[in-house]
This record gives sequence, structure tokens and C-alpha cells, in this order.
Amino acid sequence: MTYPRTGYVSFRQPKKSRRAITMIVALIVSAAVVWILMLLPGSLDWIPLIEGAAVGTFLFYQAQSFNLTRFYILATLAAAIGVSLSVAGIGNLVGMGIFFIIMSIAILFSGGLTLHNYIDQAPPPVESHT
Amino acid sequence: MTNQIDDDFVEITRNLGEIDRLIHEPSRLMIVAMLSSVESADFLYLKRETGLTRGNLSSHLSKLEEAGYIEVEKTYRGKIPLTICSLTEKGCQAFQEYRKQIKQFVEKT
Repeated sequence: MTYPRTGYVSFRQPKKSRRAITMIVALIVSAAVVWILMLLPGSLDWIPLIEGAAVGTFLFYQAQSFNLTRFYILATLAAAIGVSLSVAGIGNLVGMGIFFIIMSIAILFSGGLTLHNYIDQAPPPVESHT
Repeated sequence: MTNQIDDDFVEITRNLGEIDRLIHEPSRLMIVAMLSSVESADFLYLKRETGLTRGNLSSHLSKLEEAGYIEVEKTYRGKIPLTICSLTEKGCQAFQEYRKQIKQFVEKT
């Protein structure tokens, strides 16, 4: 879909050291989330809040990396949903399920809108390129 | 205010005469700068990003290829023909040297 419209580009792959750092950070964050869950009283009620924080942080990092407004919006949404569900007392597996359903719909909508705009703004060229 | 011109400044300014004119041309500079930041890019991508016409871009790519600064590969992705361009090691070094010269000039003036 994209090649005939905007061409093909192969970006440089991240260095091995950068990949290793990303993996280590991911492991540390995962361990921190598990540790927080174990420490918090009635910890399962705070699952949506922690999910919101974790997903929101990841989306914010993506937003910073790619400088895309929609990722900032999604990050804010993730945090807001997480806080709202926890404050409303909808925790545990139900809260987790609701959180992921809402975020999935939001991400699908955001991606679909972006694709629609891209197709609108980048019609395929009439003649084939050499 | 001094009337003396710094010797370093004179030398750096003179060295501008030896700058790589193949890269220094604005359109080719755009092409080389873009290729230096990616693994490879195809003709259509370069055309869109540089804003050059097809003929203009072809001409500049030919010159860069003749000088050994880029590699051009004609291939397919599925059924879609692609002309893939990438910077060679020689092109990379030439661009780094060009950047160094311009940076020195800008810093001293």
C-alpha cells in the first residue's frame, strides 16, 4: 500500500547495545510493576491504575521517539482510564479487561484515522517510477 | 575592533575552495544527507522528500553513482519495481568530511 504512494525506505536498525538497554529497561519495569503489586494493600484493585501508568509511560516514550501527537493523546488516555477505573473501584480482572478493551478500540481508531489520512494525502502516482 | 584577520580563519576560508563540489550542490546535498540517515531508500521516496523532478533526480543520482558515492539497485518487492539507492562507504566518508569542513567554517566565522 505504501510503496507506490510514498516510496520505500529502509531505516537503520538500532545497535545491539541499544537493544540490550531496551531489554534491560523492560525487565526492570516489569519487575517494578510486580513488586508494587505485591506491596500495595488490596493490590488487585489497583491493577487498572498500574496498567494505565505502564501503558501510558510506554506510549509517552513512543510519542517522544517519533514526535507524534496521537501517541501523546493515547498516553494521556491510558493514564486517565487507569486512574478512573481504580478510583471507581473497578479493579481486578474486570478492570483490567475494561482497560484493555477501551485502549484497543482507541488504538485501532487512531491507527485507522491515520491510515485514512495517509491514503487521502498520498495518492499513488499515475506513471510507474524507474 | 581588530583589523587583523585570524590566520586560522584565512586557512579555513581558503579550504572551502577544496570542498567536495559533488556533494555541495544543494540537490545532491539533500540526496546524500537523506541517504546518510537511512539504510536505503527508493527513487520515489527520494523524489517526494527532496521535491526534485524525475529528470533532475535521475541526473543527480547518476553523477553520485559515477563518483562511487551511492549504489543503485533495480529490484522488485513483490510485483512492484523499485530502484533502491544507498550510500557507499566512500560516499559516507565523503559526506562526513564535507560536514567537518562546513562545521569548521561555520564555527570560525
